[in-house]
Amino acid sequence: MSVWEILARYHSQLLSGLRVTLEMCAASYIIGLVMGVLLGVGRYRAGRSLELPCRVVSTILAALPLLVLLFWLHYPLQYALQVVIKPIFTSIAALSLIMTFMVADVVAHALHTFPEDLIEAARVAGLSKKEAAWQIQMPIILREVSPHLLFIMVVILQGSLFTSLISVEEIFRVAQQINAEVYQPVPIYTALALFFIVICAGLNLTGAYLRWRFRLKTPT
Amino acid sequence: MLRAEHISKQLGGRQILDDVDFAIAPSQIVALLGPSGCGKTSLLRALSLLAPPDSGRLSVGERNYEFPNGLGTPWQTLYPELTVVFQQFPLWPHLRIRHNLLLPLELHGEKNADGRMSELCDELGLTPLLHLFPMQLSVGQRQRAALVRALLPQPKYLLLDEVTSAQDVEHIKRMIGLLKKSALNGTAIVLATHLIRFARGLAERFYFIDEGRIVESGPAEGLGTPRTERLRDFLFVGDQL
Repeated sequence: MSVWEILARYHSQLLSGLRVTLEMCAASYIIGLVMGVLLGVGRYRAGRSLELPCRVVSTILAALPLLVLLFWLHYPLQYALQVVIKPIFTSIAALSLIMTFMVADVVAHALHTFPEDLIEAARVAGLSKKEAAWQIQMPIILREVSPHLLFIMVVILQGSLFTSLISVEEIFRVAQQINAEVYQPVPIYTALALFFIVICAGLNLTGAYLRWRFRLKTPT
Repeated sequence: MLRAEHISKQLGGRQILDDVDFAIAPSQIVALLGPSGCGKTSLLRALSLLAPPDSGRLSVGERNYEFPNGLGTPWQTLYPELTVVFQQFPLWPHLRIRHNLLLPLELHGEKNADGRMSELCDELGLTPLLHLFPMQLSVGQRQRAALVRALLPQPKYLLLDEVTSAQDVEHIKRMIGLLKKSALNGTAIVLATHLIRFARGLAERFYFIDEGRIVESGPAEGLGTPRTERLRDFLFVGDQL
């Protein structure tokens, strides 16, 4: 069987799995971005009191395989709390948690390294604190972090494959089910790769475009 | 009148300004001379309230500040009465030069500064560059753009920190012309520099600062006959350059 035959024969199952993957990632992106920005700004404003614990958690999360985190959240934690949560929500929670700390790292770093002289220039040019934040700080930081955020989105998208471990009916699990039926791993997983290449290429190209677009606007 | 009395400031345990008295009248051009790290920039930062002094008094026109606790809030601005161009002359990198120059005025509700901006840009050779971003300009061009941004609100006091550091002779000459014209229109200009000739060509008075203290001050003609050995040494070296 060729890749195209797999796509032609199983496209509805694959698209259904892809829809679950995208919904799960979209929810994680929204939660992760909002929480991450809030945490990043909080880390910057609160100083060391929040910075240190956040760094510890961030370092642990960065070292922890997503597979293990999903397993912990889905089995031992739910058993300990005596609750049953749908696998897709557990997955969204795990992906959002990772994304939150990754985004917070990027945002906090951008705020910490923001050139102080640009703020001083705003101050001596009569801008209020609020005007300086909206007109100067925010647009520059947004330009700086956008490519990083897109990269994080790619990482989360790829990490979503592991949610098949806890039975989320996402695209990788669908591919596994198709493979169990016809045992054609090479074309099936190649077809799966095509979906990811298209989506990730879109995100990566957007990141590259933003880097190019903002090249002239980056402070030295 | 811009006046500082008994201004002192410490930074990192070091006395960077030590009982400094300084004054400049409207339309006056004053040179602030001294070696690198002597406290020129610190004094300008104190005068502009960017780094308020630890003690002393500061009067900017009708506004009086007594330190410590002279400021109501840490975010104080004297714009448009007083503007500054610091050595790094930071332009906002995400805005085109035109927007960099006009943003402060627009935020203060002044929408018709285009004519004044064109005039200043013409004088400093910036007109063809207005559509570009700061990173597309040379260091000298950025420095001149920062000067235009500071001159646009027609401030009563203009503080300039080594504003010629990236300029060629031709542009220094144009700057001198422009600054003289601004002074004639009422702007008092404080010129921190280590270029003795630039100071002599422009200033009416001078202050020589060393290790945070005003060592000598007086009319600019006094630079020909320094009273202190320290200034004599400084001028001797400066004249060799």
